[in-house]
Amino acid sequence: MAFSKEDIKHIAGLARLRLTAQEEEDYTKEVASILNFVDQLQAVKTDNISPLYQVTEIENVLRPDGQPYPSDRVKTSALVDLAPDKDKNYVRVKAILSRK
Amino acid sequence: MELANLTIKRVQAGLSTGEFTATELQQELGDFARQKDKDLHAFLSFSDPEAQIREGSLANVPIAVKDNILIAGGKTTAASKILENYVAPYDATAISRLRVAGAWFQGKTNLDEFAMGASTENSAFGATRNPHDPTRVAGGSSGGSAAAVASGQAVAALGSDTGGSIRLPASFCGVVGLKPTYGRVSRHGLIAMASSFDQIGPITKTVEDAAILLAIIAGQDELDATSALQPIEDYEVRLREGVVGKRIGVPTEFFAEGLDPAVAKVVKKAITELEALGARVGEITLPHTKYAVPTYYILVPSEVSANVARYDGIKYGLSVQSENLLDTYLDSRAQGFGAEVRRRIILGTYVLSSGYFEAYYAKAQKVRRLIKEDFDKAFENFDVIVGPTAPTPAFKIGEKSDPVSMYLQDIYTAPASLAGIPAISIPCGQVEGLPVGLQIMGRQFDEATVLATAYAYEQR
Repeated sequence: MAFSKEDIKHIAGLARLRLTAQEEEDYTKEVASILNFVDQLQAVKTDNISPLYQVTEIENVLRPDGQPYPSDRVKTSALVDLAPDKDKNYVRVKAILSRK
Repeated sequence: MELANLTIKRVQAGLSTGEFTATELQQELGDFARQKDKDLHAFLSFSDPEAQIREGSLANVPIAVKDNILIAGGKTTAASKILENYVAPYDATAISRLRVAGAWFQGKTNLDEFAMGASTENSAFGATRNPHDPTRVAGGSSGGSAAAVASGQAVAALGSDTGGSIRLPASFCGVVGLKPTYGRVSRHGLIAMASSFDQIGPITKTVEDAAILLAIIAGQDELDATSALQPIEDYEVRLREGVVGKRIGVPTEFFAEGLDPAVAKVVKKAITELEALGARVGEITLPHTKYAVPTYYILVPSEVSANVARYDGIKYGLSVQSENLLDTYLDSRAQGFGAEVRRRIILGTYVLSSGYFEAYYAKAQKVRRLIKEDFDKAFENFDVIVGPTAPTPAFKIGEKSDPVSMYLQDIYTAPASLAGIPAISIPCGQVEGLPVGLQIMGRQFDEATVLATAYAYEQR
């Protein structure tokens, strides 16, 4: 599958990456070469093989009812304190809707 | 005290006989590490000596920690500009367990940015140099931890392994590096790279020290739902069981094209030595080995692109306050992420995007099962599988500029990562003065047999 400069612009937008023209150029070449390398997987027959999502295949790890916060090892306030802009226990962001 | 040969066992003996005090050890080791680091750049930060009374099985034993593992109150940068000033708000579970055991955290070690790399050249703060030849890489991504242990700057260290990041630098620097089974050690407080692969593990001078550290950091944790309930064995006791009658499989594919013939010779000699110790050696086949690296480089960038979406200039880390919210995201990420991180974000976002998901991500997950099944079949008849850790000894700094050639460094380490099995790299000889690693892989949760095999070889 060909990977073009249009692809890189689209993907960079989705991934919230700002790229310079030179970076667009370089990444298009590099990613195309990596995709070319990984394309060898298409040769592997995988009919009737189910995907492996979790390698130890542990399922349904549940906490007991009634203990929404099983641990006091991580404090919410300590996490919010890391935000560059905050108000009490909230993280503040710039408005994304304007009045007019 | 002879710093270069200090092991956990030696430190414990020295402290208990009064040969040196904890304060003397911290001071002397700290001074030596700082001095040596001018040449090697294994560390990103050092702790000051602490005159504090510690008790426990690791009382006052200095441990160096890869800088993607959180130690509360200290900087944890993941060798990224985006976390340059990030101060960890809590301890990783592995750290809190070592803390309870009385360990002293000596400093934080260098890595490829967010552990993405095989050489430690991707660190935003400069590459680590190999103690055996400073013009060469230390391997990666836990290159700082491996170089620190190899140079005597550290007694023992923690690293993390996603596709070879403990084993490869251990091989390049001539030390012991153990990647535990996926889920054996809690990932809580390990900065996420690829969550279905990441594991914390020990990098040490001896197999015994690796067993000691694993016993402390292993075990189920309520803060990591993927951490496993499987019982933890007495690794130190099982170390001494030897290899007599153990069945060792040698995969043909690990000695095929791409392996440096000089490395092959050293590794084959090590295997004959294991045979001489009483092991039964047989040839096996892991037919999907050549698909491991391409599978890995679809799955890992996919997980990376999701995991590093959290660095947005809003919650924590570098924040460039721009005109509007979108520009804050774009500018923070543009200034914060290095080239390899961005490369993986682009690759991962692409292979997960509409129209490509089935062809890449879903396909790779199926091949991942085939790779795991190759190992399952082999372990029906064999107790461990051995081969080289890396295709070559340490390469020159700056030598590998093409991403794919760097990715191929993981050719022998990625299979165990995809299968979630434990694997250790131990020194088994040299090629032109550069260390070569022997890799020993075991069944899921059977670290004890892996360690016992490694110990038998080391003590031969």
